Amino acid sequence: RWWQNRRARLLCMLALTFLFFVVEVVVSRVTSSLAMLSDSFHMLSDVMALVVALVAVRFAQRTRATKKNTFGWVRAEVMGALVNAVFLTALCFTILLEAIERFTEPHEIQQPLVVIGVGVAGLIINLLGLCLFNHHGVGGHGHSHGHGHSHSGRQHPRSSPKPEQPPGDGEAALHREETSTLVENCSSSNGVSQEKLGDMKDDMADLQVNGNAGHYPLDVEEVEEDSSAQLNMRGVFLHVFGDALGSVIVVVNALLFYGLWNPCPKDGPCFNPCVNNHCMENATLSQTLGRANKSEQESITVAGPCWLLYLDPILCLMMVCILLYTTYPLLRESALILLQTVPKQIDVHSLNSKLRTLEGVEAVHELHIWQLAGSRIIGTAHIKCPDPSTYMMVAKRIKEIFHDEGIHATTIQPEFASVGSESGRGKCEFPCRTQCALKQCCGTGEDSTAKKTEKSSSLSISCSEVVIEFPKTRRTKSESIPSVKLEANTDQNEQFESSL
Amino acid sequence: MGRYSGKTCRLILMLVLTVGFFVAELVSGYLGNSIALVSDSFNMLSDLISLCVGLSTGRIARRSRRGPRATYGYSRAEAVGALSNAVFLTALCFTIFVEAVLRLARPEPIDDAQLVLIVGTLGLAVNLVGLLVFQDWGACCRRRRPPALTPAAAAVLRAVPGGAPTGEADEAGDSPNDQKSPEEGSEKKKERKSEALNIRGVLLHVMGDALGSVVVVVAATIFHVLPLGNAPCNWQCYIDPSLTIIMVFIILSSAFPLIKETSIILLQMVPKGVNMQLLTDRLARVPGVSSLHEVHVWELAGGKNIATLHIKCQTPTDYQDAAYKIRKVFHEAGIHSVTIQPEYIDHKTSQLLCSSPCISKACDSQLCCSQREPPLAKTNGYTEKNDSCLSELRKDNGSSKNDIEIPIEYPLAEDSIKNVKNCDKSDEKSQLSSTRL
Repeated sequence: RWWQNRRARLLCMLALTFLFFVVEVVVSRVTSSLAMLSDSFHMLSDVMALVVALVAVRFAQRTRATKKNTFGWVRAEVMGALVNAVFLTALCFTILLEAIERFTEPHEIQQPLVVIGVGVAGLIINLLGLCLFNHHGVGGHGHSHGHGHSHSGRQHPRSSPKPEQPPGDGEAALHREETSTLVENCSSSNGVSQEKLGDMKDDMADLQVNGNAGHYPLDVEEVEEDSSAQLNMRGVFLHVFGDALGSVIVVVNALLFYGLWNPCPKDGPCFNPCVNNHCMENATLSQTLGRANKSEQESITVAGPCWLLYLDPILCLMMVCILLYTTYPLLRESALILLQTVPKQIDVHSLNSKLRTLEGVEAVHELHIWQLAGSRIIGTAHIKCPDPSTYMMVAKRIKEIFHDEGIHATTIQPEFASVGSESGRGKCEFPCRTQCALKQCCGTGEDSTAKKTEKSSSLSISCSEVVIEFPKTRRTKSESIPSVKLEANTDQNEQFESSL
Repeated sequence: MGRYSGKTCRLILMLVLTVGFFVAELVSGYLGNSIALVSDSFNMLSDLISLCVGLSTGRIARRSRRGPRATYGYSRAEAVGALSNAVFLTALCFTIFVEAVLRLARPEPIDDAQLVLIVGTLGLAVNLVGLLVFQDWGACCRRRRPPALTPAAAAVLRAVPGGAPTGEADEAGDSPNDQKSPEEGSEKKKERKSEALNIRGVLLHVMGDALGSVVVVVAATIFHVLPLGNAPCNWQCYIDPSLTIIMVFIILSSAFPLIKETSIILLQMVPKGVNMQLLTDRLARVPGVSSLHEVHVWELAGGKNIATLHIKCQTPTDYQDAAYKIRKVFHEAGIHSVTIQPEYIDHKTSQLLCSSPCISKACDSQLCCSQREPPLAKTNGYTEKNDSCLSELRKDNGSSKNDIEIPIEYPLAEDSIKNVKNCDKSDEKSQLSSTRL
């Protein structure tokens, strides 16, 4: 269906919100209500959030490598999510400030009927937006149909039997992503190769709605599946949610005001005990008037219950708390991806030990795992093997280990040390030159002692690919020179020594 | 080492000053019943928040070690912090803009011009102090680092005992130190750039606040000099909102470049100063390399560039020879962490496709770049490479056999020395390697 297209949803909501913003501005001019004008600008902030999300979606559909970005632009959605989350936090902050100001200087609502009307209209639009974006909040109901279709279409990678999808490569890529996620999980959980996938497919189509039958927990699967798009949509969802809450507050407040407030009539003296500053003189005046002329006391109206005026800020405070509580997880998740952290479902220690216990692998270092976006996890490692033929035997097994963890884009650098050389257990054979130590991504730059010793050790190593062939020379060197302890890369217990 | 020096002291000073002034403005705003003061104090609060974000991300980036949760450490925290600050500032500007427009629609005079003027001036003074503190930042810290390195490194090198190696160590110790200075210069610049990212976010906030104070002072002066009394609003009432709108545009125009710079880092873009076309051309010309694919270059943070690539070679010797040269090409381009995956040519798969993407083709969409689409390295798959590879293979036939047999004995040392000399290296390096051997 067209509404399963992310971009269509965003555009639709954008159009609606902008239209409503214009309507609200016009109405506020007509009724000269300041409150409505300020509320209309909340809609404008919504529009901005939607624009950010749209831009991110447009970018993220270009998954191809380009000259400017060798990974394609898939990460744009994660960044869009972060930007939206921070934007929302900032808006909460300003709402908080406004609420605190209202505490000190409470306002009456002028013309509550108009406010109720426009508030209800805004609420309807926001609820519509919530429905539109709720699919992503819950976990992809919209995708479940897609799974059923795309499974049968898996054999033919190009033909996607979803006629409603626009032929853009972005959408096709999106669905290929979804299908291969599930297909991959099946294969990873059962260790089957691609040929066997055909048998599993039909079972999978029945088994899986959103999760899978593999060894990944169900919620992890939902997170992995298209999760960068999910993040982006969550950001938009939270904005619309905040706006809906705001509309609810406006409507509730206006209703209560309309029902319970006893306004000052335009004519006749009025005593408003709630607004304290200017009215102090009026209060004394009215009191003296009242004492002077008892018969006029009935005509002096007292403005309605004061607590009503404080209802607005209190509700705003509650709304801010709710919003912050729901925005924080989104902020955290997108920040963790952008910080190049290891995705939470992967245990680097166990991966490291699995790799090391492979026969033929002497040492593993510079193991890096990070998440590009969504389910694309990237790993690099340097594997130390005795010789090239051992490496060839082990290479496939290494890739399988990574694959089982869900890491499919790996770059494995083999390093060859001769058998019996104990000294080079963890040391990188191919670092850059000494003075580059500070500019390397890791290890050599971070620890100052490591820095110095790595510098001296890599003096020889810069040309040492061929030096590898002399175990004896190296051993004499290592014997004559006291070992300097360096900090290992991922496993802090592992120490390795300098070859000098 | 340089962490707990004047830098942190200044930060804490700035923090204390801002907190103090925020409280003072708030109290005086409530006492004097001036909403303008209260709102200005909340501007200080946002300043405070941005300062905290900047500080904490700076600390995280510098302190945290690599661990099982983050294999690259948290050095990117500064970029994320800078982006958050910039977006926060944009959102605040948006709300200020909205308020200014509302004020234009319904202008109000400033009530107590004198009080607002006094507090506004004080606020401006605090902001200017803050600006000075942060501008001075980079200059103070750079001076501290280089002296710390050289004597320590030299000491370590001197600590290396053993007869012949000592002399060589000193000799070797000299040359990298010589080479260090130009590198250090560029490294200093790059570190400054990344730290500057973090601090730039905070600076933007302080500058925005300073501009706001300027507007407050100007408007209050006008009202003080030409008091309005009870007259309806004239042109004076429009000064404040219009100046505010101008200020918003100024701030936004300086926030967007910061957002762009952090995006380059966070979106894994190719860092500035690296020309991918040139780089891949040079890499493809390295002898031994049949073709390249999956070339990725990105910046971790602060000038630390990382590259990964897959190369196709004929034999393991080709790979080992080529690996060194490839690293050299990257080194010259300013990329110092390189991971090279060799793939040996099986004539079944095309030159350009990866021989080992993952264990099954089903994982294609999980790869960082789809294998189905023509890879970026299309231009690097020179077919004539095949011939040069084969010729090299014939040349190195003797040593290639020895690679497979282990271990390698002494007689081959001469071969390897020849190989060393054949390497296309700079003079210093061959000096180093010969001393090592």
